[in-house]
Amino acid sequence: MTALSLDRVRKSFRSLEVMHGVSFDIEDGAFVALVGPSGCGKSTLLRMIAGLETVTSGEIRIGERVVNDLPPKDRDISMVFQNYALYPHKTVAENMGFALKMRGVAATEIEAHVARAADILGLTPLLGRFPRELSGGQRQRVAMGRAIVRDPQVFLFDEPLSNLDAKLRVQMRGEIKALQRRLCTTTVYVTHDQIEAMTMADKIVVMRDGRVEQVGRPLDLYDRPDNLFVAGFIGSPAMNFVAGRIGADDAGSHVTTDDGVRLPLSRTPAPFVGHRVVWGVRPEHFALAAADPVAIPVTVTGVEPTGSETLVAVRVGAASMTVLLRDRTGLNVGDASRITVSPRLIHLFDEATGDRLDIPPLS
Amino acid sequence: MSGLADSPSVQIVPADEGAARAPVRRRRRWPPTLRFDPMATLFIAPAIVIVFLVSIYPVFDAAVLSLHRTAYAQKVAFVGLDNFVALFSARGFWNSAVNALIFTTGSLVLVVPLSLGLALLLDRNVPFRSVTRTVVVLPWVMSQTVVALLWAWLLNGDFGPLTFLAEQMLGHRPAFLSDPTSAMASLVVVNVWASYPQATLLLLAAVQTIPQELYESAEVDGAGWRARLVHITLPMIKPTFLVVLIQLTLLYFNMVTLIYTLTGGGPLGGTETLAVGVMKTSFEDWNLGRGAALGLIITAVNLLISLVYVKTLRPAGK
Ligand SMILES: Nc1ncnc2c1ncn2[C@@H]1O[C@H](COP(=O)(O)OP(=O)(O)OP(=O)(O)O)[C@@H](O)[C@H]1O
Ligand SMILES: [Mg+2]
Repeated sequence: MTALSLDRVRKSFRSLEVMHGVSFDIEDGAFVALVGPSGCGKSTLLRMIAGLETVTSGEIRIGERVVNDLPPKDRDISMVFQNYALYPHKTVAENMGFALKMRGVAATEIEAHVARAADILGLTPLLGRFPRELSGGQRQRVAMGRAIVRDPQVFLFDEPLSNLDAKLRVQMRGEIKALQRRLCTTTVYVTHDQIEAMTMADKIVVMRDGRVEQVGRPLDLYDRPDNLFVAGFIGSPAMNFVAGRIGADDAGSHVTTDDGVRLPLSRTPAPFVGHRVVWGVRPEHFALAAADPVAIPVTVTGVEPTGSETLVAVRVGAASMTVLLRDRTGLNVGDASRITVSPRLIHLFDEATGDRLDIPPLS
Repeated sequence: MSGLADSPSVQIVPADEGAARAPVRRRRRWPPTLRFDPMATLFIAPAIVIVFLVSIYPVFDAAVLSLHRTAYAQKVAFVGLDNFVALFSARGFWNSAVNALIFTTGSLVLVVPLSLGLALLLDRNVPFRSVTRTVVVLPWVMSQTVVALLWAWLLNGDFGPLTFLAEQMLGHRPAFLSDPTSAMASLVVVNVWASYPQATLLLLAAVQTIPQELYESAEVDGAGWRARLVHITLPMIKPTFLVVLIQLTLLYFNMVTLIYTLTGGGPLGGTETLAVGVMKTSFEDWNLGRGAALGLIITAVNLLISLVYVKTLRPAGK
């Protein structure tokens, strides 16, 4: 069943259109992450779903209802804001119970709901405190408590972890995910952090400049990005790209860069030969092969060991690439070496359109 | 051991021993604040002198003056509390006190909702916002004397435009300033007109610092505009509101210029407040001793007003 669906949603601020027809569906109970670079319209989209921003055209449906013209309070959603937006002069309990109070729920019942939510989130000892008496992580938790007390159809989160330090962020990431699993409430989660999106979401919507670039499961986006933008956005460190031309000779197919470096490629049907492409490989898919004469020759320009892995910056012809190695290396800046990659881990994109180029393998 | 005791951060000392040592330590730690530092004294001196000259000395001088019978500015004889006794037993005093109360509360009752309402309105995207804001601020840039003269003309019983207008509408000529009751009413209206901008702007500034997210959160939570006013706007502007209330109350209670210029306290003492009374007692009757006594009473009431506001409106636990 579809819990939330957007159909060709557009948004203009005055004469400036910032959302150019966004469509996607979210299944009941799914955790969907909305990612994209700053300014791509994530917050605007979320606020349109919440009813805080009008929809210029298109349709937003929550459950069976078209909600375009419903005020936020009638949409059966709750929202967690980036700065939490806790009411400073209300206690934790009052903050959490406010929505129920506004709906005319009896005081004893509010108390019961708040107590249950506080129990889930470990907020019981803090119920009498004011927001200013809480740490950042505790405030974050209260904001979540306020959202879950009402048991809405959809949770909306706008970068809820961006104000926390790195360690707390990882912890809260796990907590939010676990909470969502437990409550099975459909969730739209805005973030610009693709790791958050990858680790938490059942489904990711990648946006750019008010358009949806790709919708899919996290690993599908990672394994088969639809275009250069998604390929570059998902995955950290980012995928390496080199522009070149598909060539073929007796030794097999390859991509030749503009400065003449031969990059490997699986055997390619004749119609594709001569096509201009962008050749892409994720840093972790390279392997060192100093002794392999057909491997790609590189010059090391930087070595960054993190302990568990080593990030090696190299130059291939005029292009720069990153190589992520699990092992320690004896490489130093200035060294010459060679790297290989398995042909099935190579992504090709049309240089003109940026779209993924799926070349049927020659059997 | 003595090295540890010298370090200010080490506090692990048995209670009795600590108590015994405390004075010693304090003397060792505090010398810098007690030592005469010529440089620091030099820097603070002007401020102290100014505060002394403009606040402390006049009050002290008035206190001394209030205990004397005076002839013009000369103290003639020490009379103890006679001036106060005379004040409290005079009908004029209580009349002025009641007038001050009516003037102050009457103005407050009108100004507070007016300025709050305007502040909330101006916070929204009202049409022609900058023009509206300018118009709202206009009365503020006029001095009380100019305001008084302007309104004295507008309300003049013989040729005032407002008198004329009212006569056209009512069919008879109203006595805006020549009847005690309507003079007080007119005075309150003029005062409101002259003083709402300041309150409006202060409240507007406070309203504008409220994060938009709070309103949006409340909206999602199901709060209508009235609930948002009660649960967000009002609590968030409470500190400013308190300042505005104190400021306005003191302004009204101590106001002389506007009243004195517009009505002179009349007719028949109908608009004479305590503050105007000080003016008239001192500089019309030239009874400076009694004027000073009245001034001291006003000062005491001022203090009381501030205290009551701060006590009742300050948020719990702060
Ligand atoms: N009230 C507004 N008036 C005009 N333009 C707006 C308004 N709100 C947002 N925009 C524009 O809409 C676009 C999308 O903004 P939005 O806040 O949704 O981006 P975002 O993806 O949430 O970015 P971030 O990651 O930085 O939060 C931006 O170009 C922004 O300038
Ligand atoms: Mg945003």
